[in-house]
Parts: sequence; C-alpha cells; structure tokens
Amino acid sequence: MAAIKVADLHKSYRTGAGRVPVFEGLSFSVETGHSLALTGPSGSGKSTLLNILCGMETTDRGVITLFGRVAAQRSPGDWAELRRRRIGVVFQDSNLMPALTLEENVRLRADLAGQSFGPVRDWLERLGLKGLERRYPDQVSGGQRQRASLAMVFAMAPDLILADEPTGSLDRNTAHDVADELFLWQRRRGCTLVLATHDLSLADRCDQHLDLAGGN
Amino acid sequence: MLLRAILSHYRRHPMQLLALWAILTLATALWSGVWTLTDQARDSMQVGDRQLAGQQLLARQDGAEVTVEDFATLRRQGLCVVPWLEVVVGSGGARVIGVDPLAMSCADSARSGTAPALDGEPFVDIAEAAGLALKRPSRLRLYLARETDRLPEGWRRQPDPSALDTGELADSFLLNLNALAVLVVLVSALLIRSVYTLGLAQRRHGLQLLERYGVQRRRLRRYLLLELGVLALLGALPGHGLGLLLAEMLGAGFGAAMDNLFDTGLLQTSRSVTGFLVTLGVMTLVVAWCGLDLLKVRREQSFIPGWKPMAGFTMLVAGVVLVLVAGSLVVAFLATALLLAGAGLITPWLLQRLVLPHRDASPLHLWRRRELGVLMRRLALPLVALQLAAGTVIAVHALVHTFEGTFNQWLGQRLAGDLFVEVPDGKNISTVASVLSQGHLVDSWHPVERGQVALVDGDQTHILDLMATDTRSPLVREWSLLHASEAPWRAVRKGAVLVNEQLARRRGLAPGSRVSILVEGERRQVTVAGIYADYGRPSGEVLMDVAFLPSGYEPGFRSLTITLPASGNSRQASLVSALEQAWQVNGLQVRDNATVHRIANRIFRQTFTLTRAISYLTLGLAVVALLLTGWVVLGSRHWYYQLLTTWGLAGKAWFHVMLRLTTELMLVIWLAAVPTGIALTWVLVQRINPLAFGWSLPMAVYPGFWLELMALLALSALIVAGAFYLRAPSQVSAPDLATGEER
Repeated sequence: MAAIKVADLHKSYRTGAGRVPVFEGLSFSVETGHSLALTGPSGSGKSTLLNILCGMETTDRGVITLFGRVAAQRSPGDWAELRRRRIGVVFQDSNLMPALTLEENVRLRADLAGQSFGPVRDWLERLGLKGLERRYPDQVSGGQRQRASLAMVFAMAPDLILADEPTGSLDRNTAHDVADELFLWQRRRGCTLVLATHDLSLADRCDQHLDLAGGN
Repeated sequence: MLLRAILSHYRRHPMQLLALWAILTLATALWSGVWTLTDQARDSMQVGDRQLAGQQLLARQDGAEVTVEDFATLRRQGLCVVPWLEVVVGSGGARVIGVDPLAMSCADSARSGTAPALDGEPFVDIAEAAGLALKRPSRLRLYLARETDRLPEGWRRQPDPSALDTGELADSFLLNLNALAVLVVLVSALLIRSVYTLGLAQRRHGLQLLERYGVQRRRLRRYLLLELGVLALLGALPGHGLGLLLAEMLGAGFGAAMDNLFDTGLLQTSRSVTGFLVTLGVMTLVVAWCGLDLLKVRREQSFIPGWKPMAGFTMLVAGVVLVLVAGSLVVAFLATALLLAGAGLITPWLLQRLVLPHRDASPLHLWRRRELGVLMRRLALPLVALQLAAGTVIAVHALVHTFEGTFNQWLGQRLAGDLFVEVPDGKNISTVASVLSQGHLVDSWHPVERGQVALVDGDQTHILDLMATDTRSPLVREWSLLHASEAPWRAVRKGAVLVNEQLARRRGLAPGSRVSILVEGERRQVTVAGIYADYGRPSGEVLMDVAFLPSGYEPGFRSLTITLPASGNSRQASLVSALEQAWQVNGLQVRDNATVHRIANRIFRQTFTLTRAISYLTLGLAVVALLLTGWVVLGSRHWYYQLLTTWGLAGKAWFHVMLRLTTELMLVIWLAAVPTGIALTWVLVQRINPLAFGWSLPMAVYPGFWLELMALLALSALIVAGAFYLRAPSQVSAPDLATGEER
C-alpha cells in the first residue's frame, strides 16, 4: 500500500516579478516502509514538497493522498494531529526548542506524540548524547544537535519521517553516523522516509530517487 | 510539558521576564497613581460642592481663629451652626472631616430635610476629629446653617471660599489630570508592546517549531494569551499598590495645589476594590493590544505601501486645524492626541530618511548608518514612546518654568509695597489718614477694597469680584497689562475699568469693549480699558478706581498696601502701633509682602508638582524600556558587530563604533523629541491652559533644558555601549558565530 501518493501537483510562488512555478504536474508515490530521496539544485522545491507533505504549505492544484486519505479532505486540525503523532520532521538545523535542554526537547516531542517518557534517556544514550542531556542546544555541537533531533523523532515513533538535509551541516563522519542511525531505525521500525538531500551517496541508500530538477 | 516549552524562553532569558514585569508594574503604578489622585480630587470636589454650597461661614470680628469652644458657646446661644473640622491625617496631606451629627440635625430641619447625608469616609464624629487635631494640623470652620437676623456680638458673616462655583474649572482640572493619565497609558502601552513583541520575535522560531510538531496555532495562541493575562495580573497587583504609594507621596503637593485653586483639600478616600478593578481593566486593555498580533492568522501586508507616514501626515494636519479652532477642552485634547499620534506615525519614516548615508561616505560610516536604520525599524515602538515621553517632559518643563517666571513677575507687581494691612471691620481708612501721611513712617501707600459687582448680560447677571484701588498710586502704575487701549490708567481714573484675563476670555472682552455692571444696585455702562493677568483664580474680576465706588458702598474686605521709608524696617512696629492706636484695636492683621510672595511662589510651584513628577517618571520608564529593548535588539545583532572584531576592529576602536552607533540612535530620538516638545508647549500654554484655567502664558522655550535632556540620552547611550564593550568579544560562542543570531 502506498503511504504517499502525489498526482499532478502544481505549486507556484507569487513574487514581485510575477508567479514563479515550482511544480508543474509532479506525480509520484512511495510505498509504506520504503524510502525516497529527493534531489535537485537549490530552489528546485525539495523543502517546499516536504512542507506540503506535512501540511505546512498548500498546493495550487493536484491530489495528494497520505496514509490512504486525500490530503485536501484534511482540516488544519487533522494535519496538526498527523504531525503530532504520525509524521516526524527533521530539518538541517533548528529542530530544537532553544530554551529547552536536549532531554526536555525529546520529552516534549514524545509527550506531544502521546508516547511514554521511558525510552527518552535510552535514545539519547544510543545516539551518543549521554552526559549532554541537560545541555541547551546552543551548548552542543551541530552534530550533537542533529542527533538530538533524531532522538526526538525516534521518541515519537512516527509512521512517516520527512527529513530535509538532515546531514547537510555535519562533517563527513558525523553525517555518516547520523545517516546510519536514521536508516537503521527506519528499516527496523518499517516506517516511510522521504529525504531531501544534495548528497548523492545518501540518496543512493534510499529505495527510490526523485530528481526535482525539472519541476515535474 | 507544552506550557513548560512555551514558557522556557523566560527560563533562558529571565531578565526579559523581569523587564516585562517591571515595566508592567511601573506602568500600572503610574496609571494607578494618577487615577487615584484624580479620583480623590473628584470626590473631594464633589463632597465640597455637595456639603458646602450656599452656606455662610461665621468669623470672629477680632480675626482670631474659631475654636471648638466658640462652637459650643454659639450653640448654647441657640444659633444653628455646623462645625467642619478638617484634620490632616496622612503624610500625603489626606484629611478627615469632623462633623457633629447633632448639629447636622438642626441644619437638616432648617433645610426642610433636603440636606445631603454625610455618610462614610472621610467624615468622622467631631469628637474623634478633635482628638486627632491635638497632634495634627487642622482647621475649624463654623457654618451658619439657619439664617438669623442678628449675630452675637463679636461675630460676623463671611462668604465661604469653598462655596465658590468652580464647576467648569474643576472639570477642566480633572480633565487635565485624566489626559495626563491617558498619556501615561499611551506611552506605557507602547513600551509594554515593544518589550513583549521583541520577546515574541525571539520566540517565533520555537513557536513555529511547536507548530511543525503538530501543536495547533489556536492552542499556542490560547497559551500565549493566558501568559499575557497572568503577566498583566502579576504586574497590576504590585503596580496598584505602588500607585497608591505614589499618590500618597504626591498627595501633599497636589493637595496644596487643589487648596490653592479650589479651596478644596484632598480628602482621604477609601481604597476600594473598584480602583484596583479599573487599573486591572486598563492594564488588560494595554496587554490585549500586545496580544493583537497573536490573533492575526498571518502577518498581513500593508494595504497601501507607506500608509503610516501618510496617515501620520493626515493626522498632523487634522490635529493642527483642530487645535487652532478648538473651543472646548475636549476638542483641544482630541487635537493633541491627533498631533501626538501623527508624530508617532511619521517620526520613524522621517528619521529613516534622516540617517540615510551619503553616497561618498566611508564604508564604516555607511555600515553604521545602515545599521542605525535597522535598529530604528526594530526599535520603532520604544523610540516613539521615548520621543513622546521626552516631548512631554520638554513641554511640562517649559510650562512650569514659564509659569514660575511669569507668576513671579506678576506677583511682584501685585505685592508691591512692604506691608499688607487688613482694615478692621467697621473702621475707615480716613481714620488713619494722619498716620499714613507721616513721611517718617510711610513712604507711599494705596488702599484696596474688595467686594462684588454683577455683570449684566441681557436678562442675566453674573457675580464678579471687584477690586477697587487708588490708580494714582505709584505702586499700581507699575502693573503691566496683557492688552490695553491707549493710556489705560488715565482711562480708569476717568471711570473705565480693567478686567482680568479670565473674564475677558469668558465674555470675549477686549480693550474698548463696553460692559454693563451693577455696583451696589447702581447700573453703569463702562469701557474696558485693559486686561490684566490674574493667575491661579477661576473668578472673573473687575478693577476700578476707588474714587468711582458709589458712596456708602460696603466692601467685603479692605486693606492697605504700604511702602516703608528706606530705613523703614525698624519703623514697622511704630507704624503698626500708630495704626492700632488710631483705629483703637488690638492685634491688627499685618503681613509682610516678601513672606507672602515667598509662600505664594511655593504654593504655585506645587500646582505643577504632580504634572512634573508624572512626566519625569514616564520619561524614566521610557528610558529604562529603551535600554532594555535596545539591549535585547543589540544582543540579537551581536554577531554582526563581532564581525567587526573579526575583521580587525578590536578594543577601543570597536567600542567607539558602538558608542557612535548608540549615541546617534539617542540623538535622533532627541531630534524627534524637541519639535514634539515645542509643539506640545504651544498647545499647553496657548490653547489648553486658557481653555482649562482661563489664563494663558507667554510662549517660551528653554534650549538649556534640551541640552540637559540630550546629556541624559547620551548617558544612556554610553551605558549601553559600555555594557556591550564589557560583554564582547570573549563571550560569543562558536554556535553564535556559526548561526549568526542569538537563540
């Protein structure tokens, strides 16, 4: 069964110079438990597509089906509920509440998803953040922040992970470790992953690959 | 957990929470203080009007103060007199009034049961008040509650100064206070909003993140509004208490001013829950304004680009037109509000253009000016608040100083001569003519007779004060007049009159106007030869030469103003003794004019104590708020400033750049505040003062004070730059440098 089905998606932005099209008839689908890599140059719409898939942006035209239900039928409340419980979002940076410690951030995410706090410390430990639980995001490195972001997603146990350049700001080794953790967890859990990246080696690790360079 | 996440911002930025709370508290205190005083003033005036209207005072003929024993004696003689014992009980000048319920019953029956009830504070039983009066300043008045044909020997009737009809003037006075309170709220609202929205901007990222995590916007808004409500409550509670304390502290000067203007002291009123609820309501409105942004679905684009300067310009033009044609105080205040709002809207736009860099400026200059533009955009609200507060302080300072100078000069004219001697009841000035002609005792003198006349206006007559004097006296001829026809004093000596400014404004009189007056039942058509200044009194007054008083005219009050010979101070006792001997009285009422001058100056200065204190406190609040918000905004741009260090501009050079930046920011506020202050001064002295009090003041500006204000703002700039210098550069962490924004 397809977790995501996108058909004839149109999306454009209005700017001072007129309308700038991003997608003109984009169609694709991702089976449940599979992973999809979104690639393309900057401005090709990778982040826009992720925002559309989590209900943070609207479309001009087209049909999106998520978990078997047409997205247009979902109210803002439904979308919020989806993001709270079933969709985990990881961005390149800025995934953490700046005024909460790493542990508090993970607990917050688990709490919002209705999960128990029990495994929070375990996740932090498994991701190499032991001893840093009480640090604030600006007191740890970029790699550690990104691991904490993954811990947040793992703690909420989502059905779909949308990751926007999750290793973009990390050095090669850290990026490799973070990607390992992400794919390992995705496969074990059997959840769907949509990953936007410039890194072709990372894209190669996904089951499917969608190049957005053409806009459709 | 969600609430904790939302509030976590304050855990990382406790100073911001403290600043917000402090500003809320101080703003509440200012508003609450002014409101309490206005409320007390209104109550006091209403009580005075209600209880004392139309009654007559009893006074001893020998001029001595009346005592409780006098009251007992008069009552034993069957006279229906009502005692009114005012005792100052608070350090702020608050009073209680002792009344005698038994005496009131006689007054009630005299008035056919229409007497108003004396219920609750500030009235207490006279026995209790007498006990309090033993150790506190007090004043006893005896009112003649039932008309009687003859008074016991040694007593006379005296018009009650409290019964003066001050209705319109009192309303104006209260309206002035209310306007001040509204200004305080306006400035406070700007400050609170600026501090809160600044914090909100910092929290936006976290709030967006929560939304991404599936927290509905509606829920976030609810929590944020709840947070605002709790903050308002936490600020309003101590703020209201501080406000009451402020009212208590300012009460003495304010009470003296009221006493001087209306003969109504400031009464101690109960601290009801209503006062707190009003304060809470106002602060909730202010805070709700902060929350307006939260209710918007998304930040809307302006419907017309640059609408603010356009709206500001329109408001300024409308305000100028309205203030020129304003015929009532309400319209004048509305016009002032339009002027201030217009200035507030147009100022950021104007200043942005003012700081545009020259094309050939050095790169560093270019950067500083551009940065100044950014700071002015981000600090627009506190900058406008500071501009309005500083403008108000400039205007109030000009008003007070002009008033002091003008009043002092006027008082000097009125109190020309060394001594003021009250002519005892039933005695004539002619009796002491021989004493006054003795050159070794008296250099020059003139009589002053005070009474009342009626101005006839169609079918109506209006009671006016009358002052009659010998206009040939050199002491009078020195008086300067506001407006006059040619040779006004000569005209007065031929039967014309002078009128005070209050009467001239109220009746639209000018030199050359003809008025009809009734003097002792005799109707006269007289010409107005001039208009003189008469500060601090609401009543209209007519001045005529004493020679034109009808024969047999009985003035209410007569006095002599006497200049002693050059070595006359030692002769004062001889002169007083000679006068007492000639009049055959003991204990003549003699006042030293220099002392009166000094006391009067002090009392009139107190008239503006409240205005000055509140305007300075508002300025202080605005400066503190700007420092706080400036600190946060500069902090959020610290990374950019650190780039300068990275590029080699370290140490003192960096400090100088920051100092120039903060100083230029303060300078542009000062530049905006000065014209605001001048405009407000003009509106106050030329429009609002005449409408409120019946007299105007000359327009004057005080550049020296502007420089003092500039120095204060420069000091604030130095503090911010200095604090930044101490903070930089070691405390900037790698993540700061990596991300470029404070988190």
